Amino acid sequence: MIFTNYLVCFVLIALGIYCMVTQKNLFKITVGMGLVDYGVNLLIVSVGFHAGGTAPIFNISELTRSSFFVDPIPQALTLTSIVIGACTTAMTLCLIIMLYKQYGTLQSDEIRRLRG
Amino acid sequence: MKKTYKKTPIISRCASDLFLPLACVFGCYVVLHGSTSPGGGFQGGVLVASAILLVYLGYGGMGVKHSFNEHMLHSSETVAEIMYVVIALVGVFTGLNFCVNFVFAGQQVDTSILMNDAVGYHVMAGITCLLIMMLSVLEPDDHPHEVDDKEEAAA
Amino acid sequence: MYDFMYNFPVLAIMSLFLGAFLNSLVGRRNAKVRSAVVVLAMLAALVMMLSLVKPVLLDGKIINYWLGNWEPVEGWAIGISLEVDALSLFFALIVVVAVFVSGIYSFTYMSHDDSLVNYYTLFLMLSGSVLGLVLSGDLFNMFVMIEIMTFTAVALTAFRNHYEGALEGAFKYLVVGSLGSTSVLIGIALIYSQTHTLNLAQLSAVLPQADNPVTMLAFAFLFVGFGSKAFLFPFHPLAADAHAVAPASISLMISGVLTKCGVYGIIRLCYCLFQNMDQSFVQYFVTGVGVISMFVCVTMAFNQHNFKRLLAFHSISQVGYVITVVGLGSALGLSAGLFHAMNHTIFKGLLFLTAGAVQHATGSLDLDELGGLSKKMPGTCALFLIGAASISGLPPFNGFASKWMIYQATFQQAGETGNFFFVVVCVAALITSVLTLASFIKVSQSVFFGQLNPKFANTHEVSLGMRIPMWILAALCILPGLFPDKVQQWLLTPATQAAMNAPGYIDAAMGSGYAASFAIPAYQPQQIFLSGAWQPVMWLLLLISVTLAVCIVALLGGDEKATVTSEISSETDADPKYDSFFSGEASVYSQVGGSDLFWGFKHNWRHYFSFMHNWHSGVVNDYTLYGAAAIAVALVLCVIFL
Repeated sequence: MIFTNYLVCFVLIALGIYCMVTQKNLFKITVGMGLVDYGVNLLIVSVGFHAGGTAPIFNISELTRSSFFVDPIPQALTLTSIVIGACTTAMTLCLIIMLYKQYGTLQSDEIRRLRG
Repeated sequence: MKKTYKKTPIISRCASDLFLPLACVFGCYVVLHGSTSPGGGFQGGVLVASAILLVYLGYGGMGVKHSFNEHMLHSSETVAEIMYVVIALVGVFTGLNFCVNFVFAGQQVDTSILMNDAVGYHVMAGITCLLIMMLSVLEPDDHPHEVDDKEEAAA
Repeated sequence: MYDFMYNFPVLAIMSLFLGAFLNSLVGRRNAKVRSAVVVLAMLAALVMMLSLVKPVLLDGKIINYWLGNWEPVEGWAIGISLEVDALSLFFALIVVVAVFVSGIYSFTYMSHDDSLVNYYTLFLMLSGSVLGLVLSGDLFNMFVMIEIMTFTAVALTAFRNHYEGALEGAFKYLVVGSLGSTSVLIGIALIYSQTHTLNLAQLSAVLPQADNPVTMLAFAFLFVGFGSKAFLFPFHPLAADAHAVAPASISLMISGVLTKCGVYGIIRLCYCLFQNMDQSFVQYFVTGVGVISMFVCVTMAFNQHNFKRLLAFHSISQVGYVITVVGLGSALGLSAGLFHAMNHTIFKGLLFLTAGAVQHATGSLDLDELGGLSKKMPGTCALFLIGAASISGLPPFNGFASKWMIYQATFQQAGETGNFFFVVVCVAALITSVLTLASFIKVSQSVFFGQLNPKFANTHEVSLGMRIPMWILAALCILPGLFPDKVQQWLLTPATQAAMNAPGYIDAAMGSGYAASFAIPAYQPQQIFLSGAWQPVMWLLLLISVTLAVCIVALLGGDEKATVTSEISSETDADPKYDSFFSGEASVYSQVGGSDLFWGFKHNWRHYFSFMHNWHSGVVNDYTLYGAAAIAVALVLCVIFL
């Protein structure tokens, strides 16, 4: 089960990078960045997963030595990383809109005034 | 101005009227209970902010324009940020560390509620600003509005 | 006893962030209030960091600050901490000084732009995030700060979005930069899966023992991630694109401050977290990356026609120097690297600010178009020459002092290990320095000397508000060059010892004896030996005497100016009938442009240059491919050799 998670997150990251490298459309590049983000988020959540653990929500009085729960820290990290990913996507889309207004194209190989 | 305002179908308006309070109340619930249950400021804030999409679906771009003040949202976002920092700084000036739990130390009711509220307020205003900008891109002909990526990054 | 000074790190970070928020609240209408808020925030951060110099750098304390008083329980760091040792404070001082200078400069420089409230908000957030990164004691906090840093830097790069290419540069920076950030995040996830902690001090205790493939992969990911933030070799096109289009004050921030974050991350990673600098593979790897960035970027700079783009390539070349000597693993090497990192911020900042002044005065950055500005802008020209002499490593300036230490460190390493690789490194460092000098001769020829383009005949010197920050940086260029032993004593030695003293760093956070319980041996302070011509004043005397000799020869040899005159017009002045055929010759605009000065060299190397020109294709997919390839290569190498 957890092995599938690692496999899937590897596949997601690889697909995302493949998408970023091969696709010329700027929106598809954004989708590739999103895929990489999701892959990493899945990786972090899987790191904190214990099979059979409960949700890590306790009062001070309920928490004992024997309570078995999944690691809460990776979940917090994942939330942060999701927020950051959303920011990245928003910012990229913004830049794409303005790039389209300026260059009149969405093809990345036509947006290359800075080179050499 | 009035003539170009095209009415949306009554079904979507009624649905929007029905779900708008629900979305707002649920979002506020998630924000207020963020310190003791799953969720918290960010998630609740996004829930409340998504209400603007309901307004858009029901009343169109003009409806959004009439009911939200973008400058006010922007300033309130900043106020929420300052609120968070000030709450965190109180710990320093009471002789303890930054971000310390100074209200009722040791109990369930603590500073994190206030911080959650600040975060919720901030996210609510910020995401609403973001969505307004995105919606204004969708209708470029009646209101030519430049998208300002600087403001968005500040959000 | 409670000491309020222990709050200064977090207060400095928060003053910058609070300044940003207040600025966006109250600075929208009133420009004076906005400037006051910005200056107060920057000044508060500067003063707080300076006041920490005595306890941290001179007395050698390590400030450890647990947010919310969540102190470690039973040897597990459960809270988030700020940990300020001499290394952190060294970089923090670089950051706050650069931020202060850049902020003061932008008051005048940006005065023609609109929506300045956004500019200052983003600027202060960028400063705060960078300060938070270098003072943080938590790995995930570092990641969050890196992300804030990247976003704000991207937005500021695109700030003048009417400027040609600004959006494009920002877009490339964002896409490929996100690849680097993702790499850092994967590294953090892998480390967490092995150690179940994110505190830097606890990780430094646990990681050297946890010697399994996963931590090696994490090392590779983190190295590439921090390297991408320092714009090392396959990521350098981003820096060139971003620098060329950003406002000059932001170019200072990107080259002087953001790259330093990457350097700081690499130093922390190699010396503190993994403590694997004594392995020869890590030395080869880090040094190799540094040498490649150093050499490739300095040759790329030859091909440039844009003033700031050229400076950008030199910037990465100098960061390559820093990484090269950091990778040597010796105390002398690390101290040389820190010295050069500091000097790089100063002289590269000065050069970018002069470029900004030229842009502000003439509206152009094209090297083929500019020329002869020394008559119009003598002050800026003098400042540029100081910066150019510093970056090329001429004696009385700071660049010479740190480069001398770099040669010495590589030479010593080559001598001690007898390894041919380090001989190559030493020679490459020397050649790069020569090429840097050549490149700056080209720039000064094509911007400040030669003939004035008639287009810029009514150019004026920039105002005092822009010259004062440049003079501050110029003074900072000269002082460390004249007194390198003081800098060595007060700044470099504490920072170097702190970077190499991992057990002290661990014990300060986790309680004394924690490092010993993980069988990390106590740290023996290493002596930093300096040898050779460590007397810059003598070099200054030599320079003065040579200059005097040249002047005497020039005076004795007469005062014939080598001017091109038309032969025909000088003979027959009275006859104007030839004017229609020959009059153009006397008054022709014959400035030697940026692309012409080293045409012989460029012709001989034309295959290399055309290859590199095609390689920097400007397509974002290609740059992403280079980044992904860098991650792949680092992974393979680390798995095989580590």
